[in-house]
Amino acid sequence: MNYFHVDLWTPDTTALPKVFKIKLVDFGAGGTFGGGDDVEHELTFDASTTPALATGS
Amino acid sequence: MDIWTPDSTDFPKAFKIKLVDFGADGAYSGGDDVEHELSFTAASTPPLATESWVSLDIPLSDFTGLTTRAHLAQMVISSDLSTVFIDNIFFYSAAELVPTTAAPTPTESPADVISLYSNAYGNVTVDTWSAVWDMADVSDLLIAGNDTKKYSNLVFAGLNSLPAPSMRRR
Repeated sequence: MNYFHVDLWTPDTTALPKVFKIKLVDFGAGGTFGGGDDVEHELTFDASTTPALATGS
Repeated sequence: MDIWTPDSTDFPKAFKIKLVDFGADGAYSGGDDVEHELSFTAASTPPLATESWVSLDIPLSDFTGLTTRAHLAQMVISSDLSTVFIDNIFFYSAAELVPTTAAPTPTESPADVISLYSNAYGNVTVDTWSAVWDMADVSDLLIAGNDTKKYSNLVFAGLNSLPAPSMRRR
């Protein structure tokens, strides 16, 4: 696996600084939360990213 | 709120509406009251007018200082129009917008996909779409016949899938 995909739609205004964020968390070799081997990363999407957040589409 | 006045509304005559929330204690003062006042004039939209009903339809978000609304308790109208007729004072929720078409059907080959949620694929088990520690509500609905998750009151939502589907197996 080397891509993550999601489709989203919002009725709300997406004008900056409104954001939509996605964080993925891997629980590490322990397979459970904590344990010192968890890793994570969060990406932020807004009206200036590609593709741009948009209202009603 | 609809207003009508026989008086001149020439600028800078104004009609003001203040909303006051009494805060968590539900009583005046106590340090948690918030309020915001908006002013309407011949230069605002819609403009004040003489001898004509003016319909003020105001997003509550315009009352930016009104940071809480759970204990709305007081409205103060003020004006230098000495006579004003008022009708239809109410709060309301605008009809909710929803998508009218389904999200596009993905085209990746099922053999190359581990899917959590899609009508296009078989999906792995997801234990929760809104973890107990998150701040969000989730519901299921159909959009143009396509299963769709709706998150509302979203601040952050936790989606858990345990044991984690192995992302290394492909």
